[in-house]
Amino acid sequence: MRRLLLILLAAGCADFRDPGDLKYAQVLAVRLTPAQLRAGQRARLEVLATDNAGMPFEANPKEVAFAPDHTGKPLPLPPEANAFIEREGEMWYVRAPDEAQLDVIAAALGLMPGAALRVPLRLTVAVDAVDKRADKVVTVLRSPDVQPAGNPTIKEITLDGEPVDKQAQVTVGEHRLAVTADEASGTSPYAWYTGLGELKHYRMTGATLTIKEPATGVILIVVRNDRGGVGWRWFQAEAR
Amino acid sequence: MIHLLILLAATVQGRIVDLVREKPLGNTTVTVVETGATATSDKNGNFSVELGPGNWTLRAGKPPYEPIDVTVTVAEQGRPEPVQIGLFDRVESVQVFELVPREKPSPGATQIVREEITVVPGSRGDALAAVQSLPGVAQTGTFSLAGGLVIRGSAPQDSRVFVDGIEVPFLFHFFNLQSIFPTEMIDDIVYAPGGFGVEHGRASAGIIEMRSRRPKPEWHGMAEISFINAAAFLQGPLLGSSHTSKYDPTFAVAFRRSFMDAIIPAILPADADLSFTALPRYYDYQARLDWMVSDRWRLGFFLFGTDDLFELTSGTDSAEDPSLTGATFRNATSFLRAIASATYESERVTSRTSVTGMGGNFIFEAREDRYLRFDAKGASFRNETKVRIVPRLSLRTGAEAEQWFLEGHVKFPRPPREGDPQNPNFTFDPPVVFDSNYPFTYLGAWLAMDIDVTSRLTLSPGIRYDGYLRSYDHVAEPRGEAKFKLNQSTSLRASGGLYTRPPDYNDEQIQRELDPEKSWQATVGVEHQPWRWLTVQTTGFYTWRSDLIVWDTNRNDPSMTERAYVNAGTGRTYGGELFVQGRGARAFGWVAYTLSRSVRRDHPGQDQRLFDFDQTHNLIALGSWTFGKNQRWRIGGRFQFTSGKPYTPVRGSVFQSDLNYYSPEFGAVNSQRFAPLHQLDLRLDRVWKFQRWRLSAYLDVTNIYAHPAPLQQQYSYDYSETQAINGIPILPSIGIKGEF
Repeated sequence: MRRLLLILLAAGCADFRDPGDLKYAQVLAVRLTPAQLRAGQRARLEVLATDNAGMPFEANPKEVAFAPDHTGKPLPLPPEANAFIEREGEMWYVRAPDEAQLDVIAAALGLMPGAALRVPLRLTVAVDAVDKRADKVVTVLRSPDVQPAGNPTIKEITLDGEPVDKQAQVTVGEHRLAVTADEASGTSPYAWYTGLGELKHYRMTGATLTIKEPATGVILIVVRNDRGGVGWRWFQAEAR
Repeated sequence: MIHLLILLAATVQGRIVDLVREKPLGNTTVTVVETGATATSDKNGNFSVELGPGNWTLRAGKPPYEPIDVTVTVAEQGRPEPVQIGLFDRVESVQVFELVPREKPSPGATQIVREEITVVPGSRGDALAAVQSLPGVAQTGTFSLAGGLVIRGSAPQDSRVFVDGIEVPFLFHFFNLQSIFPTEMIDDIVYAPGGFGVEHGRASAGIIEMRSRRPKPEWHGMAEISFINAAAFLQGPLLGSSHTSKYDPTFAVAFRRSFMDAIIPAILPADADLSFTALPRYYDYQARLDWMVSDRWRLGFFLFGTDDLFELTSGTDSAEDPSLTGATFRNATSFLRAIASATYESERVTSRTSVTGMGGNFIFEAREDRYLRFDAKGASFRNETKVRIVPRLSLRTGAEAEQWFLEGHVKFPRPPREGDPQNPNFTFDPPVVFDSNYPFTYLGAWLAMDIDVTSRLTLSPGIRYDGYLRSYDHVAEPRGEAKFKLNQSTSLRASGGLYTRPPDYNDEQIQRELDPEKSWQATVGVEHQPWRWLTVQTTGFYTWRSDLIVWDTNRNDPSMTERAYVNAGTGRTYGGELFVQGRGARAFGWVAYTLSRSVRRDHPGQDQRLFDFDQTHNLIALGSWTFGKNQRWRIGGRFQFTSGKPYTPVRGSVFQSDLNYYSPEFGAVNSQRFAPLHQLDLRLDRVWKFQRWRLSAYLDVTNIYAHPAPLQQQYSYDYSETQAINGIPILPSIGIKGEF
């Protein structure tokens, strides 16, 4: 336990890039719409990413495949799962098999009757000409008693207590950010990003933004729930 | 120190000398303790006393020399042998050491005494820090992450530390800066890195035996203030100054308290984002009573304990473990042990029986719903007996039983594990939940023979039984040793056998079906003493390990909250040690070099990998020397060079989009090494003498040229950037000590 304590104390002491920094190429979120499926349903995969200039964009994956399990080995999926991933032009979809095929897949994976099928997918996304990888778990419900989860809806973002829509003007200094969303849940439901300044408490519902010099940039929030749902929104801000 | 010389009649003649200056001491009083009769030495140091038949204790001393007791036997017929009594000047007594040799439990074992421990450079006077300068102990860095001693390529939990035969539950106060047992309460330490006898169990690597300080009937007190803590010590006759014979009870008490709660606010940077609700502090205490009831029976009572506490709130954002943002960490640890013992000694039989009462608790909390809370109470019994059956045959036998009652409340991620490069995560790891009261029972028994086959060859076959009732295991461990005396100055020793460690480390105890870890050890050594002041030891060792407790899969396995571990690991360690030790009147020092390799295979069929703390080369050279008028100055230095610690590289990472964290992709475990470590420690001591007391001061600087010692890699939240966590670059420590 003492080793663990020292690791904890050492964490945060290094001078690493701020996880709330939007100004480098990365995948920020992967959304499936709808967030959970039933037998025979189809859902679209979308990616939220940002480039090195700090400009977020929505994109289609470059490749989608089944991800390995926790041991690094492929999931033991039967042929019934082959049609799970679909591509239409640039867009990628997930199609849940019918109930009979689902039962075959669930049996191959050793699932209990009625237990949801959770299939990890690995997406490759090109961001600033570099391939980034992201995993997304697709949940296919098999029990009629469980209602499918939706993607969270962001109802309002406030800057220093004032609602913000597409654009905002601020002064150099410290500002309070807050978000209100439906269906946000889980261990880490909020993630703030910006290239405008430094963020504190960037994984909490309310963050603090410190802007040191006049600039323009984007402030972005991603909201998640603990059933795979995700939503995002951003606005342009000009600091004077 | 004492030399028997010429035979005379019932008049016992003797001579008193200053051992440091090697000159006779005149005008020195010699007292016959049993009768109170006195004699005074002449200018040549000679004295004589009239004694009848029997055993007598002569006490000689005059300020500033340490009084010393010498036992003299006067036979009914014949002339008693004269005695030479050597005295150490008290002013210099911190600098000159008396070694009462103990039987070393194995080839390659080492004994160091309190007076040496206190002045080993870089150890800040700490006993276990001094042990880390011995061969076979890996350098894990000051303020290290190991949390114990890494001996001959084994995990810290594989070795055990005993005080007077009773195990100490943990070794260090938090941050590993100070061991829990003050050097002032230790007479000596015997360190056996492997191949030890049947008397000790539950250790699959090495053992460290600390012998607590046996109080003398003279009053002696000490108060010390150092950079780290304040300490006090007092010993004397329990019934007062008029009761100073060897049959009168004596006592010793000691107390220490840390200063860190005063220092940390001063040195913590203002932007550290840490706020302490309870500043780190520890204290420890010891008390010992001794009563020599008769020439054969001695009773003892020893009590010791510690109490550590700290609590802090982190204001730092943690993207990789977001639930720790703003979390409060609390660590409270305490334990108390009380040992009552009776020792019987005759010409043929030596037997020590002890009963122990134990209690303690351990609390670690990280945020409100992640906690480890253990409360433990227990008792133990131990007897060890040695009987000389015939002149060439002795038996060593004994038994021990230890019963614990634990109350555990756990909701916590699985702790770090050797060979696992991934650290626990409080946000994303499924917690282990465990609430239970449960007993823990250990049993042990042993039997060994020491057979003098010839005047040169001694064989010691033996067997030990260990019962680990919590995990339903019973193990028979054959062990043995052969000693061959080549000539007066050279001896060969070889030992080996089976050693086991029960599955009781961290969360292993939750899985009752786990078996003990096993190690087969073989050790061969040569000890050569060309001169009285110089000893050269060379040792070769080989250890084969099996049933090592390893992850069944890994910490990302969703099923690991129920059944995380299996006995599937194997490993081996092999190497050699060279230990050259010199002890003189004004100086001591040693060179210790260890060449070793320690590897593990976590599951059959998997690739072999390096052990987390594998250290190919470990060289330590240290020396300490007194100088100046009356040798009131002492200067010492210690240099260490070791191979860098292995680590596991990260090849990349994958964004886990549902949870918003990055999972690392590791390369081969421990396939890379940090740069070699080297450091120089220096220590300077000065003593001032006054009429009734003396004052000493020291400056001890660890790693004086601030060479960084990388302990572990630290990564950014997406593993795109990396940086080493280094040990403390330089640690100066000053202290002032007053003694009477």
